[in-house]
Formats: sequence, structure tokens, C-alpha cells
Amino acid sequence: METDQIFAETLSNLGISTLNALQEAAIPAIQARPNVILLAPTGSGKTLAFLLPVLSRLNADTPGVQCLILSPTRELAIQIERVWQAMSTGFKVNTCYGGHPMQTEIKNLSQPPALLIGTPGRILEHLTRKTVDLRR
Amino acid sequence: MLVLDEFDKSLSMGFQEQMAEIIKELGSVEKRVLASATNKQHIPLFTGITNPKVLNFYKAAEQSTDGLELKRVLSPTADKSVTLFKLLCYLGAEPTLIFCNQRDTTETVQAALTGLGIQSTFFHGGMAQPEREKTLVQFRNGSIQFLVASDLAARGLDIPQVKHVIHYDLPLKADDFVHRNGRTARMHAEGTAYLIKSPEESLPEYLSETPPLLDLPQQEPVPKHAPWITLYISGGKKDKLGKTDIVGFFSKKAICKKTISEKLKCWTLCRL
Repeated sequence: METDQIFAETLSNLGISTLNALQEAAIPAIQARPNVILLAPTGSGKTLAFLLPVLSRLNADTPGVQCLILSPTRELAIQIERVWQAMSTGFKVNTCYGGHPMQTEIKNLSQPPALLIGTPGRILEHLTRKTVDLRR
Repeated sequence: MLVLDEFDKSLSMGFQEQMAEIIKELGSVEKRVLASATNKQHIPLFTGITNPKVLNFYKAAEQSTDGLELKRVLSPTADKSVTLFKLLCYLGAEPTLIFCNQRDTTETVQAALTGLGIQSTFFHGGMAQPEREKTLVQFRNGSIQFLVASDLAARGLDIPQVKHVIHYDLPLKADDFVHRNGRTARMHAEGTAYLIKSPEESLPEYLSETPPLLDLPQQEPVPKHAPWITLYISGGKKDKLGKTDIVGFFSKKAICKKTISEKLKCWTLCRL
């Protein structure tokens, strides 16, 4: 499927008709450039601005984690996961954070998600325990 | 692909070394996105971000907070809880975030409000994760109108329709002040931020001008309690608990009439 078509479908899943100015500018930039820095206050629509380009890069035939999102707080990590789920992409997502049962996370990660979201502490713990492999 | 969201916050929370170690463990990363809510350009080497395209949306954002109004309220005493109470009575029952600088303060302020007859809840980083989640659910659905919070609630959380932001304590840093105010007047909506000042306190340097003084009327009724409460039912399919059981229980106990039970049915349908 064409990227534009995927985006249009995702937006309709989210019930959004138009992107805001930040998203209009950020999405093509993230797609075109290897390194992008977004400076914007919270509440400006950043999450979708990076999740759409993430989606366009995921490949259903590639095994393992294809994208890692690090978030400072559990709430933010959960929030990003909710947006991803609302996008109904069909790609598996897992979210790992302190205070979440380790065994559940290990079980989830045994079938690696395409998108992994987490707080630095917990992701590092999984790396140390070798319960997740991020060396594609 | 690697996304570092709210990178400035991660640094200020001391995740620098952990992030560096994680990034070292990654294989080849073709794409990196770094999002930051602070308009600062210093990007550490460990991120592996070189020659980035920087998109700065701060100009646009400053314009979009045009909907924000700032007001000052004077507290005659160092303990500002009575003034806060009066301010809440004046503002009425609308979604309001009250910011304190310390976890302990959020708890004492919440207790003081309870003593004066206002239902509120505190929210800070020292709470267990399930408690934090439950509090946010209740604040979002309106069964809690007043949330007394630390700066944890100032960033990134999607809490829509906050009508008022109250600075019980003024933050030490300008950044935090901006983030707290960002909880209201989001995306073209209008909102007001109030700061409560006691005689001993002086206004911080980051305030370029003194906000207009708001005189509180002496007598205002206490805000009404929230029109509904949130029930937490710890059960689901595994406990053989279905939505009909819950609706059945309420109608049997005659706790709700048929019309309400219909609504409840819809609600439980979405939740279970």
C-alpha cells in the first residue's frame, strides 16, 4: 500500500480529518531525514507526528523489534501506546515500565513486538536480562 | 528507528546514563527522532544524532497560548489553603489543576480542602502506578474536579479540558511554569492560570510583568460535588464477571432505575 493511503486510513481510524501545522511539517521531515529534532511544547500533537512516520517504516515481514520509543514517564509511555492502538495499525506494540509486572512483560516480549515503548530503566533491565534483543 | 520522546524531561530525571547504555546496545539505527518540550539546543553525543534537521515550533506555540490569561491572588497568611479554598469557591466546579512544588504539599493541601468540604485528589510521583492511573481516569471522566498535583502532571499527560490552572506554589524554573500553564489553553481553547502569593513571597524573575490582581468575594457557595463517581470493579472474564452481572446487581438492589441501567449497560459494554 502507498504511504499516503496508509496515512489516510490511519487518520480515519483515529477520527481525525486533518493534520495540524506541526504534523504537516514534521512528518515529511522525519521521512526524508535520518536525524530530526522536534522542539515543541506538550499538547502540540508531537506523538502522532512521529508515530505516522514510524508506521510507514514498519515492515510486516521483518521479525523483531523495528522501532524503540523511550519515554521518561510511565504515563507518557502508556499514552503513546494508546494512540498507537487507536491507529489500528495491525502491528504489535508492547510497553514496558517500572511498576508493571516483569513476568507479563517477559511473556509479551517472547513474541517481539514491531514497536517497543518504554521507560529507560525498564528497557535497560530487559536488555540486561536478555529478554529483548534490539540488535536487528 | 529510535524515538526519544520528551528528551529534556528524561535528562532532568537523570536517565542520561541508562539511555546512553540502551542506545549503545542498539544495532544500526537508520532513523532517529528526538522530541523535546524545552527550547534548548544542547543534544548529547550518546544520542547518535548528528547533523539533525531541527524543527522549532516554539514561535507558533507561543501564539497558540494567546488564549491564556494570568491572574494573581493574594493570601494574607503563609498558609495559602484558605485562599485556595476561596478561589475554588469563586471558580466553581470545573476541571482544575492545582500545582504544588512538593509531594508533601499536594497531600496537605488536599487534606485541607477536604476539611473545608471540597472533594479533591492528590497526584504525584510517589504514588504507586495503579493509583496514579486510577486518579487520572477519574480526573479525565470528571468524577474528580480538583486535582492537587506535583510537576509530574505538568508535562505530556493528555488531560483535556482543564479549565483552570492554579499555582499554589510558583515553580522555581520558568520551564515548569510554561509547562504547567500548557495544561490549559491548549490548542486554541481559552483558559486562565492563577498564582497564589503570600506576603513573604516575591514574584519570580521569569514573570516579565505583574499579573493583574484578582479580588476574591468573601462569600461564595462551596462548589458542588462531581455529578458522578467512578466505580472500580476488579474483575473480568477470568472471574466469570460479565457486564450483565453488574447491571443486574444494580437493578436488583434498586440502586438504579431502568434509564440509568441502560446507560450503565452502554458504559460497561465499552469497558469490559
